[in-house]
Amino acid sequence: MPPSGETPAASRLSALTDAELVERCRAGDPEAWNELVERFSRYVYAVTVRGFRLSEQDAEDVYQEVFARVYTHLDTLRDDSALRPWIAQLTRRLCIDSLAKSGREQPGDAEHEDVRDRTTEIDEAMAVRDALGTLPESCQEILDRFFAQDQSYRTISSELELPAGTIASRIARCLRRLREELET
Amino acid sequence: MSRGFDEERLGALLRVLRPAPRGWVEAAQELPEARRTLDDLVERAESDLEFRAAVLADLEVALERAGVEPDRRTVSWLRERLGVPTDRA
Amino acid sequence: MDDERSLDSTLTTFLDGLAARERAPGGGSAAALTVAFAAGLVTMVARSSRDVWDEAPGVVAQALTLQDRASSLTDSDAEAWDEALAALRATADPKPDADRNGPSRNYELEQKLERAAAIPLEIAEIGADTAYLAAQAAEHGDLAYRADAAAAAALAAGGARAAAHLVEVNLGIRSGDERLARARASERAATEAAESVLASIR
Repeated sequence: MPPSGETPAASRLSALTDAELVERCRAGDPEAWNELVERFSRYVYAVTVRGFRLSEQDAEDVYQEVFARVYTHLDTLRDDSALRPWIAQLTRRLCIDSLAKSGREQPGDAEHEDVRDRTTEIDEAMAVRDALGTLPESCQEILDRFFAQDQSYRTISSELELPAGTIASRIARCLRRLREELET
Repeated sequence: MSRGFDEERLGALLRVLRPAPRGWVEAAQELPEARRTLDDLVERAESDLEFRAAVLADLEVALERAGVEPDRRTVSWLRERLGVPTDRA
Repeated sequence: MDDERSLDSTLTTFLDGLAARERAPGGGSAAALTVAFAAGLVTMVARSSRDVWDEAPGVVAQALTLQDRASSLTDSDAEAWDEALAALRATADPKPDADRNGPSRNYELEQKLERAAAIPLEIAEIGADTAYLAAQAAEHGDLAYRADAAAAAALAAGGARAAAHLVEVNLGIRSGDERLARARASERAATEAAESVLASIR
């Protein structure tokens, strides 16, 4: 989903498939690398803090290590379209290593189940986010600001220059569009 | 592929993927440039013994002089590249 | 005690904690919980109004989000308040070697006061949004639940008003501070939404 106020060039990058993005990164395109980080940043962050409930310090360490390894080993990726599952597996593995290193008691069966449920939910959230990317930018913005960024109606109204009394309705209508998109 | 998510579930799932702290994102995006600078620093330390000694005397200062933020991860990475044993807490 | 602050404990335990002599949980936590109650009522009205109101499903999603945010601030407010007080006490430390006016201590105090002000401000803003949704639910939702929507609006406005007052009296806020203006705007918006609903059903 393109962030607000992005340039036409950045918009073109956000339209690239994962495989196309990998190719550009390998060619040394710095903007492509920036886009790769933006594209997977929320996912990696969610897996560390929400999925595995790492401390903020450990979560940051894992986050940076994930992208460091992606950068270092991008050339060894055999199937460029498999970028997403590769990053997913890498993130989970580094989270498990982090838990072991921090001396936290290894999760029992029940906790493994909880982690699996939370990471499944994160995968579902990614699918929803992909669908969100197909909606008009106005819908993408308003839904992201309210649900993912905790912005108030007043802030959204001010920043998107929309009448304050229309925000809740717009959110409801955009959610309906998102539901319809996912049903097709 | 049809997915049976109603608006209520969609709202909850949209809340799952929150933006990472901006500083984290920027640090990750700056990685290629930081790596190039660090690679140059290591290459020089490997060929210039006097420079290597100066770097090993104070890794943080060496990084700052090279224009790289001397955070814990970067210092540890540099130490490893230079073959310096790390202290484990 | 931590158990008395956590929303995961029973409501009775939380109420006991509220009534205890310790400062936290205090007004901020009570305001947050009140707004959470209001958002829960809006959710109920919207869920019960799907047959008559097209936007009801979307309103449910928004009300649940506001409830989630408000309830998480119930605990956060108590913690932030305790930390700010502790930091203030530390700056008044009479020990001669205490770095009372040291830069790191001042920075730490500023950070803690910032957080202690930010939380009630957020509660006030969530209260305003909840009151607005409650007014929408009263207007467009099933008439059978209109009184519940009105109750939600009144509760949300009360929570917003309490939280705005806490922003005002927070030790880190000065007259002219933009956060004060935002808090008062939230209080006004919430009050107007509640009054419009309550006046219409008298």
